[in-house]
Amino acid sequence: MPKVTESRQTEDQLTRDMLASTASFVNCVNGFNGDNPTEITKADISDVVQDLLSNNAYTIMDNIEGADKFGTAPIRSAYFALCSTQLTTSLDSVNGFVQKNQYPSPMNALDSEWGAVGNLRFLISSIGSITYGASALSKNVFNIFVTGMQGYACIEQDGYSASFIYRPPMYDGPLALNSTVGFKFAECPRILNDLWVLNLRCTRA
Amino acid sequence: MSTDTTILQGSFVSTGSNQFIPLRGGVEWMETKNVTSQATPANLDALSSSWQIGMPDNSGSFNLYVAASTACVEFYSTDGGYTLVDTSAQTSGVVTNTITAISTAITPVVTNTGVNGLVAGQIVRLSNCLGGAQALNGIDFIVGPSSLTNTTFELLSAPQLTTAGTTGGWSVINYDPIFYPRNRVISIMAPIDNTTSILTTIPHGLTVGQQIRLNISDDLYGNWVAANNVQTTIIEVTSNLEFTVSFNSSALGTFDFPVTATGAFTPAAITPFGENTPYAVAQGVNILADATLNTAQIGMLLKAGASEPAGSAGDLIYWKAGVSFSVDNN
Repeated sequence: MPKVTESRQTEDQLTRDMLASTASFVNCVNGFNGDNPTEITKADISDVVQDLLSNNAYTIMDNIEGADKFGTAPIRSAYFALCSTQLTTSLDSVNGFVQKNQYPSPMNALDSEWGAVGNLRFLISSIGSITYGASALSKNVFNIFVTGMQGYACIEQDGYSASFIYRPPMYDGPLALNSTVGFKFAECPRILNDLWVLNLRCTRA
Repeated sequence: MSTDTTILQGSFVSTGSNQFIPLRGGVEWMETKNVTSQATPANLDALSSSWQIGMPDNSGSFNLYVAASTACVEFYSTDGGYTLVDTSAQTSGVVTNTITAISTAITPVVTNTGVNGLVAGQIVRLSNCLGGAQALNGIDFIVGPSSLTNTTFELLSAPQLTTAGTTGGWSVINYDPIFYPRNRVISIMAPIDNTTSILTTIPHGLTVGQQIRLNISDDLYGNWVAANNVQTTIIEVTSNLEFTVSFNSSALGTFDFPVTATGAFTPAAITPFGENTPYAVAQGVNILADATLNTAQIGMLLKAGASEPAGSAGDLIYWKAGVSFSVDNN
């Protein structure tokens, strides 16, 4: 039986699949795991940030000013990097990675946020994009969608955003034995400017 | 009819090939009637058939006509019939590490041990290849019709290797990313007059008038890095693997796929991003051909054949599908 969260998750999955199909991609090439693409490194992140800056993509999040607190670090204005929860270990190993609990004001972090490196803030999801067996060594390739402001959108038909519909048993039949639940929506995810969304492909460390 | 019952029905004329019937999600039973065979039955024709949830893929229950007794018998088969399909469910192919060599022919030919079981047009992904084919690892290629035997297959659109590949693996890729249009890896580019011909490693699916962006960011591509981020218009589609764009690349020299690369790199690729509307109008083609389209489908694949649900060519077949109030397959 579907849950309310599944309807929104389906939207996320469709948007994910659209980005995996059509976004320009860049392989991580500066790691040391001997694969192609390699694991993610600071140099790969710097390259993709430079690409987005050169493409005039606006950052999504403002910087977080430094504060006089132990163990914290200021956070730059940032693009979003959307990726799988399976990359958390790799991200922890990236030079310069700042966990969100090290932000000067952690309340500015999003629930799904894992941390930041340079000008990227990483949002993780269990349904993050993976291309199975697609690396040179036949390992899974993780697609990290790095996006600037208004890089892509979900366009809904008028009056047809996600609806979660529950009908109690009284609508079922003479004996009111079965209730039904389901969801529906009509929308299309679409890249608005292909220069502002890049798929940074990597494998795990 | 109560709410929790979903009934779908329709008909089709068999082409003699397997028939895919798009259905809404959650279908739990399906029936077919071959009314052509029912009117003029031949021995072992499936006059009707059915499937319900719990039966394995490629199975079904068949009502077969037996000419000798001019009667029908019920027959259950797990070799033919109905297969529920969800094309958005993409699974990794099994890597078969049976490659023993990849040739330096213009169209590279792979030699494998055992029986590859491939047919022309299938997509394969190379991995773990050593020798001179390391740069092809992780890239998808289409199997060509020539040199195709149980122990050899050609990579139809692959760049020519300078040094032969040695051992490695391959897997069949049975799916495409579900959204159209899709980015594609470039195998070969060549200036032609004031335009550029592009060969992709697998079918591109693009049409005249669509705009693409060239992504050639890796320094291994030499002068062609100057074409990175160039946006250009498709002016001719030569084949499902090749098209011509308006970009004049004559100043960039020869395009060389970095076949000698042994480390990580980003292969050159195209990204479709829109439509050149004035050009499309001038060419009389669909100005919305670039539209983002979810190509995934849910439905039932019916196997073709006189004793199967999709029948023989020309057979008229009616079908019904639905959902049950309750399923108890303990």
